[in-house]
Amino acid sequence: MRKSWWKILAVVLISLVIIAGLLGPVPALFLLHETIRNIYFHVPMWFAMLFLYTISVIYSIKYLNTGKQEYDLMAVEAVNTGITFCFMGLATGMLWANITWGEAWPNDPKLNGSAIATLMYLAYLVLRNALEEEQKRAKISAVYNIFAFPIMIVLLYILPN
Amino acid sequence: MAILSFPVIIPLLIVLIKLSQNAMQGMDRAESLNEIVVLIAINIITITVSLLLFPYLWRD
Repeated sequence: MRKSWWKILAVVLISLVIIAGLLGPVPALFLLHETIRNIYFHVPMWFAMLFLYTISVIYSIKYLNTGKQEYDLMAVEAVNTGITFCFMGLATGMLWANITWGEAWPNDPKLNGSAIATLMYLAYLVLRNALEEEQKRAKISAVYNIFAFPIMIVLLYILPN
Repeated sequence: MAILSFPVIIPLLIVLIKLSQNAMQGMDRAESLNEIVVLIAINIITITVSLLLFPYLWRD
């Protein structure tokens, strides 16, 4: 119980954010109207994804340095969680685009970049499933993960601007 | 295995396509300076990361 206080705190905070995001007062802006509430959900999801991928890269580097199996495990689970956030971010973004831009997937460089970034991390998971040998799998996927991260940053944050 | 690196080089392809499109349309070189900078940045990142990571792949 003493060790899980931060989990309870996280649940309380997230519930507060969800309630405030859905019920709190928001500025009425042209075209956005009530959909501006999506900022409470859509944007933090992408940030959470970026944060988790960063954690994953740090653990991949640690794995390559030390060769400890648990670092590899941490990296994989961070990517798994990150991909969940990525899909949720895509879903909320598509809902939002449907209302503000009129279609779910307009041909925008930022959207296509995010789709490619998603594919890149799905490829990471596919790569892990394709290899049987544990040491080899951990090593190759760590290398791929470190390689994919800067490309993902370029794709999401540098190319569209 | 090599097919997995395809999504990783897509940013490079996007920048090159944009750049060559600008060149084909006869635009001034100064107008595609932004693409050239991004291209050089991607190249530097890719080459450094490859040089750093290749020994780890090669060892087994």
